[in-house]
Amino acid sequence: MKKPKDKSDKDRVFLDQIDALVGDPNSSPKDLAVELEQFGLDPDELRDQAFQRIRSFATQKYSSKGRELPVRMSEALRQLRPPTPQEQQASLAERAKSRVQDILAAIKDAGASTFAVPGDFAPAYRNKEEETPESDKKLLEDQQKQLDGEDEQ
Amino acid sequence: MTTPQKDAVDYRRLLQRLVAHACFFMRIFSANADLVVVDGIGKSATDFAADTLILFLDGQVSCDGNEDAILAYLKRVMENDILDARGSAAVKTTKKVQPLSGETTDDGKVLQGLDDYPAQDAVDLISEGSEFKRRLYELLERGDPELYELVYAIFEENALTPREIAGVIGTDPADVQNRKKRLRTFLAKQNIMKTPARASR
Repeated sequence: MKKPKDKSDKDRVFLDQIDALVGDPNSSPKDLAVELEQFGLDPDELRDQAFQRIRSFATQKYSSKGRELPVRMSEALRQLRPPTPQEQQASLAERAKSRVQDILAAIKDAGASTFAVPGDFAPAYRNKEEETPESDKKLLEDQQKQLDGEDEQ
Repeated sequence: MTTPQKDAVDYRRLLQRLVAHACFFMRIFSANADLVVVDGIGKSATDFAADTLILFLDGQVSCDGNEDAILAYLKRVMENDILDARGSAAVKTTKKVQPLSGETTDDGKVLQGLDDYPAQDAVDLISEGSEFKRRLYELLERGDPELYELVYAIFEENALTPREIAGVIGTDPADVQNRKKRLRTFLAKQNIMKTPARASR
């Protein structure tokens, strides 16, 4: 049976410190997935590769010789088995459904808050002058003249 | 009396945690090795993690307890494998050689084969660790004093548990866990052994 080799005391202390530094602080599955992606690894691909590797080991050492797999190995293979196309489709549909529900809920929330708050007009509109200022009138007249001139031509 | 369930392990999560640890570990000790695989033997972090998991599933390394206890043990096994691999003869005599580079020794002899190149030094944890620490301190000193405190408490005060670290820094263990998460993200995002320390300032 393989046992961890002894390291010098200094090395051991340093490895313990490294473990304290980057040790896994109970990361959630989502955190772990993000972390792996930062290393350029896809969690699903990782699972598939590990499954293939364990299965090939199991076949070579056990199944091909008619021997039964160790309990842990068969449990790991069961857990790591990639989903079938049907399962994948069902999972995608489930994910899409939950995303649509999230969007609908967000729209509903936004709508509720829009109607719940009484209208508050912007100061620019509230302070709008009733009469068009002289400068704007002149601009409009010039524009009109120019358009009339184009029509006549 | 019921027997406690021995195998209540989420293997997918265990694998992911092992792979993440292998990635961090290889980053820390990648001063002379390639980031993706260990030079000379072509094994990646994923390979090391999967091989370690297989040893456990096959009963070649044995440990009991919950998933955290199993992970702690397997991390040790994997770390040793990575360090052993880096110290192997294949790694020591491997150097990336441009076949037509025409490199020569000082006395004018043209280098042709791998054996002509000097062997790499054996893995020295302490010297590689010192280099890692130096770079980490340089990057964090101005960039993120909170993470600097965390690293200092671990390396200089040898505070290893969140409670011990919290005692040194003067905060609570929950804050320590948050800082550790931030540090993991920081280390995952950049390979500090290959990043010039001053570039990030």
